[in-house]
Amino acid sequence: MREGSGVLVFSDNLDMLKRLSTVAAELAHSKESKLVAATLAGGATDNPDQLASFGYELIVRVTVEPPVAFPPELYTAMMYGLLKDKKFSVSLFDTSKTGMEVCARVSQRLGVGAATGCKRAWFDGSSFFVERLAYGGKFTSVQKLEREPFIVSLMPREQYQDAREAKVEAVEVSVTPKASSVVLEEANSRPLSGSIEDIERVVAVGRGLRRKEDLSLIQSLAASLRAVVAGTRPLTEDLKWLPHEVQVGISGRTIKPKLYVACGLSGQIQHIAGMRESQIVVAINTDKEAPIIQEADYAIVGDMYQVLPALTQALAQRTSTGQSS
Amino acid sequence: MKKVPNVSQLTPHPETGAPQLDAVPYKLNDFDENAVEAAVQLKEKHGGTVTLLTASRTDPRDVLPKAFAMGADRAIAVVDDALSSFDSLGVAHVLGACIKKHVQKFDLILCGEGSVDDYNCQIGPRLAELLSIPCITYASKLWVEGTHLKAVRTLESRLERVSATLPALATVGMEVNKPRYVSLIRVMAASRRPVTEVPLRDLPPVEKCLGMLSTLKVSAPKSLRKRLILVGSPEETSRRLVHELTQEGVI
Repeated sequence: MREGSGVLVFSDNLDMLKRLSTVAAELAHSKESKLVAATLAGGATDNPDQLASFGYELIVRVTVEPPVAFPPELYTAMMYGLLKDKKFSVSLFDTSKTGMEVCARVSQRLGVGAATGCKRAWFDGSSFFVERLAYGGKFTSVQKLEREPFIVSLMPREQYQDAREAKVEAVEVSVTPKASSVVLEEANSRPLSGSIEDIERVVAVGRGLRRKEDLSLIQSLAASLRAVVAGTRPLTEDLKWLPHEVQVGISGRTIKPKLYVACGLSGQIQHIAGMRESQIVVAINTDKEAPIIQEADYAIVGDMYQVLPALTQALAQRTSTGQSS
Repeated sequence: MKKVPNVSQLTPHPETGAPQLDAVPYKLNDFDENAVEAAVQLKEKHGGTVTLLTASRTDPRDVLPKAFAMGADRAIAVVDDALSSFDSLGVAHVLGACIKKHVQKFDLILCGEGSVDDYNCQIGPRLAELLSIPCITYASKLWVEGTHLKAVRTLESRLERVSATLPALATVGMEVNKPRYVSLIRVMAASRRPVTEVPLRDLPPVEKCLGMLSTLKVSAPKSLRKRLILVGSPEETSRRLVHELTQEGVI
């Protein structure tokens, strides 16, 4: 491996390390460098066999001394310790809250820029580019990073790499203990009752829903489509009318069902990022300028309170007249 | 605080496809309104002053009055067209330099988790690193106990309860509160509140932070979506939609 090259990938989630490996491999191979995973010794991703099966060629297993309790500080210390010696040209992070925060903090310590929430990243010769959504998802921007290490947080993909033989290297990172650390008093996992990732049909609802009780309209449509109900961040986190595990978007789930029906949701960038790869998108919205309309294959500009009952009925009529599905 | 375009009204230029940024109304970033509300609530409980800080390419005096009407006490603004090409590293440098020079003593910095136009989510964490203060992102609840900031962080699959000694920085999203309603009359009255303007050249040089990340092109994405708008009554459009989806093979 050429000194100063190498693609270093970090996530606190093993599945994300798998889903980042394809882009990381593309970047590494275009520079003839290694695909490297950073993992905290004894942490959730410390599983060399699994990492090798994702295609990582080198696993750097890090011990932080003295131990740091608060995860964002711990991971920032870990990644800064690995990147400051300039052994890597690219470092990839995921787009989770932790990934985005660590990405920003590490690049600040290194005195470089960072591109967060990117759709794509690639080399063209020695120049490094990223593509990301801008202005609420209506636009795409192409950006160039000028100084190594190129630090990027990337949306995960579904394609995977073949397994490799991986070497494991143990590294110790020393940290100067700070009086001003955040103290983690308590952590509780949020119950995740089921995955909506593998669902084929989804009906999602946003702030066009006026009352929690009106969810019955959405549920009727979902039932007639044999679909799952999902929601935007305002519906799940803010209003809490739906459980958080059906939140679709950057801070929730990224899904790619066959059919995605968006009811009364405008299509903010954070939401669209979570459903962009759906096969067919239907939008029902009173506002024909809503971003979701640009992301839809079929759109009905109208009040969902009128359209949904009509649509549910049209679906029921189709089935009852014995037409094929 | 960030002054952001109303993205739902942003349209691409018919020839270049670039966003027509000078043809839309601007507003306060949504998550920054949550931050102002959180700050004002803390002031109402514990006393103190709420200072707004912004760096923008155009005069923010059109959007700051709402924050004043909500209860902010003063505002400091760096206004310079050059800022339009600054990335998060550069903006954090400018904000940090402003704080060191013009605010000096503070107990808490509150930021929105990200801006609704770019959603980089970098400024808060970068600023905390720059000022060497504890950083608590994605706070869905926050409160002060003596010299400590306490918060609940809502992450994807876990909730954390954390504590940090002040001074500290926290970023918030829509879950933390509902920004108070302020009447148009109060907002208009607040438009006369003074804003301390700091020229970019008065701050330590930012050159070493620039040129790391440049935006080459912004254009409306070539969406492969069909964008077929079905027109008619709810019954007519529904029947047509069912037909189309059957043809697509997704139902």
